[in-house]
Amino acid sequence: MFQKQPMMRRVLYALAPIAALAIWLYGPRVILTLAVSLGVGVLVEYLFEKKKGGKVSEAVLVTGTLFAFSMPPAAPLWIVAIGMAFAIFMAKEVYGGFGRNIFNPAIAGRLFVYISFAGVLGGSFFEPGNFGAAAGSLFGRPDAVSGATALATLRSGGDVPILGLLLGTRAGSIGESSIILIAGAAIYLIATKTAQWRLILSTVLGGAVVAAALFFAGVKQALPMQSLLAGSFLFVAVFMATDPVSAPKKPAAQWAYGLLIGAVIIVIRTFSLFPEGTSFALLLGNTFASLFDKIVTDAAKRKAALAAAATGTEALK
Amino acid sequence: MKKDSTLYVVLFTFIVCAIFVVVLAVANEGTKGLVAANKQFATQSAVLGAFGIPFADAADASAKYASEVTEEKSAGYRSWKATVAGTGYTAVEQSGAGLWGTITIILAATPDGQTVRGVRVLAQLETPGLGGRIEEPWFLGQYEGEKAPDGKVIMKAGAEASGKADADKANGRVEGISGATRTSQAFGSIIDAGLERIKAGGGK
Amino acid sequence: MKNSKMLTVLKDNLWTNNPIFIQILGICSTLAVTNNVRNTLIMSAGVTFATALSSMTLSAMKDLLPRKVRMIIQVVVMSFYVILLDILLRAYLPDVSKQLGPYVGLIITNCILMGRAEAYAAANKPLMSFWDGLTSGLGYMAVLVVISVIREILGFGTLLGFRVMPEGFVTWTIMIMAPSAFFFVAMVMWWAKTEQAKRETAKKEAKK
Repeated sequence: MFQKQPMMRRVLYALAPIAALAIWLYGPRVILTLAVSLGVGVLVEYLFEKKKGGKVSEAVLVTGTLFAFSMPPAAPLWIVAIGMAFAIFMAKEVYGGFGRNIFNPAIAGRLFVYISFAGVLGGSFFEPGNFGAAAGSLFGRPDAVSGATALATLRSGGDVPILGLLLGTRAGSIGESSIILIAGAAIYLIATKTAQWRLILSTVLGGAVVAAALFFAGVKQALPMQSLLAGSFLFVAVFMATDPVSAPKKPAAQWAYGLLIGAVIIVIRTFSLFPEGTSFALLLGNTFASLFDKIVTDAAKRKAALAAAATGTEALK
Repeated sequence: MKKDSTLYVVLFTFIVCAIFVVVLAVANEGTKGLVAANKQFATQSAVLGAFGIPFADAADASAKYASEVTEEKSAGYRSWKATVAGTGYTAVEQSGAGLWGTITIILAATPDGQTVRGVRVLAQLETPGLGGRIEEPWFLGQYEGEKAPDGKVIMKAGAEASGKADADKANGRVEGISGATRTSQAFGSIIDAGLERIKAGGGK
Repeated sequence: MKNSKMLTVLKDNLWTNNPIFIQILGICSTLAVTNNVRNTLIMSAGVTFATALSSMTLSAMKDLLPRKVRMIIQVVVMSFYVILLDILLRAYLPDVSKQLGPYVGLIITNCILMGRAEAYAAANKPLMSFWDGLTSGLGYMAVLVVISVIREILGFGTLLGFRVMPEGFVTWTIMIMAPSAFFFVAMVMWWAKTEQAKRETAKKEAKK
């Protein structure tokens, strides 16, 4: 039933430790969220591919996992299902399935439900630890007071311990927990040539430079530097920006793409009323990806033409 | 005369425009009275609504307005006074910036500005279906009888808004409209500015 | 003879040459007003009224019309009907006028009016042009109403202002915002074109 895609498998391996940590942090509910997300994703893709006679791609498992990871831990399961159905249907299959989508499906789905159900999802965060003890019950929707995410705390001028950010013991979405695990995954993905290092580095660089510029220029709303470790910034840089389908292919275009995404994340985070800007930034990056590729290709062509003309005249002499 | 000659083109255009403009002018003149009456009714019903005085139709509203409400005008602002069920209230017309344009409301409260009597929206240009919902009864109803400690009603907008009406009248808080954070915040500050003016004596 | 011609125009404007999903005209207002069925009905009735009457008027004067000022006169005629509509709404339906706000005036920018005036009224008799404008407006209305029914139910949980969804229903904010109309317009186009292609092949098969 599945196409074999070793690259996608390696991404899944890289995501596994994060999933294990998430279960410890937020309880068995994480498994339910994952199951719903993967189930809906595979089902929608299967229904479409059956008609066309194709196979379900393993990429849908990555999309499903990434989408589940971008949800707050107590997100209602019906929202997870709607978001994932939208992601596979509107952002992937209508474009023609795997390899043809312009936008990253997981991010498109996430943004769809975040705009639709901002109130519900915003109140679905809770304090992590001990298999989701703060949630009150193992599988049910927590009655406990929702916790403020690290980014929200920083925005309201509070302080967040760096250790918590590194280990992941702070409120946030399911997968954006531990910086150490995400960094480890990044190393694994780069070492196995699954993810393009340029994309990760340029995204992080773009974000860091703009954040530093705003902070040290003394802009009133600027967030302190540890905000780079909070929210989904690194998670997006490692797992979303590197999506081989929606990212540009040429090295120079990849640099521009990453820098754009990183910079826009920080600008939206700092100045807009939205709590997080990563999804918007990534979709914006996706929009420009093929244009960047075209600019780079055209420039190379022009150069080659010039060089050919030059050698041509040389030869004439 | 040839159809492409300059004279014909000019004459034709002139005559066509003249005819249409005359018809429009007649239509405009003919409905002027009605439009003005509609506008007057809009204001009067908003004032009566803010004071919580019930009325049946336009004629009834006009009569009730004449008998129960006294209009005052000073420094370009309109304000009204009325006594409902033995308590005196002051109402003011208050404008402020919304997300897309100016929001104008009629706000009625006790003269000390500590308890809101009611609010009606006169004009707004907010996003239909989002910010435009400030005209809806569930939203405005939250203000009726709401206590305003320190002359302010706190607007819960943005991520913390549940989008459902806040039923507690004593907590001095109302719920914003989910998805319309900026409009909700703007509306909250217009209310607070209006309460300030009522406290200062209405018209000033 | 006349009847069959009228039927052709009707079928053309409602289906084979629908202004929204085939000609892709008037998309701006499709995005703006379709989050609520009532406004959609009034808006598309306004478009229908303005298209039908301006097509008829322009067709009646087409023999007198100098080519140089054709476009200007077209705009004058269309804005005449739109302003008239605006005045009538303000006088007799003040609530509706207030709710639709700037959209009534924006009917003038609706490409369907100009499109029908150029494509049909410039070469046909006044009554047929009236019929063409009317059916074009109805084709526009049909698509918009379908979209607005879905958007109002999901976005507000209501239909024509009456609550149809259960109390605990969480409304979909995105349905109220313009982007969701893009999804639905796209899906309507997709469905209509697939359906038309299917019928086309079926017809060819039958001929063989």
